[in-house]
Amino acid sequence: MNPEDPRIEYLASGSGDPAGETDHLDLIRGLLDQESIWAEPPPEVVDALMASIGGGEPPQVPAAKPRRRVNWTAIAAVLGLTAVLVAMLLGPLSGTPQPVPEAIVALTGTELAPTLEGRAAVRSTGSGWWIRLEVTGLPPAPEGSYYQGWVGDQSDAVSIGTFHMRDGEDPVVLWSGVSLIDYPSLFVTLQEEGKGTQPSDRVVLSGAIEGLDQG
Amino acid sequence: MDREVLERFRIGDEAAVKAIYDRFGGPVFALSMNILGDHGLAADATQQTFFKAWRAASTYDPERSIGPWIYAIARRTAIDIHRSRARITPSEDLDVVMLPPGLETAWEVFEVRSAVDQLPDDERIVVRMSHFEDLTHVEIAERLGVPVGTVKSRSHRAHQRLIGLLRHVEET
Repeated sequence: MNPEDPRIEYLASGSGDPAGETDHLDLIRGLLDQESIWAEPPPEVVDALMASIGGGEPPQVPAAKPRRRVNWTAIAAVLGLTAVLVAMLLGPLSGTPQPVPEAIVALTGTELAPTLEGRAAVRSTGSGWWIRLEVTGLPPAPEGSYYQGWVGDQSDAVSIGTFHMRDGEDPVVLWSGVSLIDYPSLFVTLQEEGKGTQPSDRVVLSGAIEGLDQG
Repeated sequence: MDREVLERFRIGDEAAVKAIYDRFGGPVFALSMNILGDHGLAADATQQTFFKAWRAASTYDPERSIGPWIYAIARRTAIDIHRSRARITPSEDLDVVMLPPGLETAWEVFEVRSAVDQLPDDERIVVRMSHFEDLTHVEIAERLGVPVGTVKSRSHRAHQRLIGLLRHVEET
């Protein structure tokens, strides 16, 4: 027995062992040296969780009622209608939770919009790279124009989606089909409708994607 | 946990979900690490667990302890992730696919981590240094800049507290 074994301390303290508590220590000791007991969840977990549930209420499960004779046709109709209504009302809330980010990218405004700032959370998923933009100060895109996200640089840019910000500053979720390890920069341009599919020279926001696991 | 928090959790209150996470995020992550053995997967499992808990909040009975309810969701989530990963990377050893390592001690890990999180900070750090970092009391005293006697008394109090908090685990 190790001289610093808590069992020795416990017995030496005069507390005795009325309920086999030193045996109980063996159970505790067997687990306290495991990494999993001391591992801390990364802070991004709670951020992603709160973003996933933000502003909504969970779907309500009806309470059980006493049994009685029922009209199954009517119930089926009501359930069908309820399902449609719930899907319409809670559709955005009932999807899968947002991924835990692998990296947070700091975004800064360019000369066109120097007061802009924001960040992008990114993560590789089974269907591509998930990118969640949070930007403050980005005005609504004027009618006839829109914002477009890109990865890469002006000469080799891959579009990751478009948005307009005309109804507030909700986070924007974009997707990339190319690896952000291979395209390690992100920028946002203001595009005019009908002016082609290449990035315009009106870059409003940009940032370098760093900290991704190269493995 | 505070009954009011549990009532608010039941109706999906965000602050209550955060309070539940603050209390059980560590135990859920520990359980997930024990089953999945990977920080990234455990982080996903932890987030999914609390998201599922939030979605099922209206089925939770505030009269009952919330710990076992969260534990059941976390365990199932980790098993599902383990199985989906096993399908992606088929193993010749079917036992490994079906039974995640660490599943047998999942409840104990969840409860021990819960108990550790309830220790005062000064006792918790002594327990961590003693067990996980395998330091002697003299080394801990040097590291913390306190007398060896203080380390011994904190260690003794911490272990007494852990025994009290975990007595029910052995009984189950």
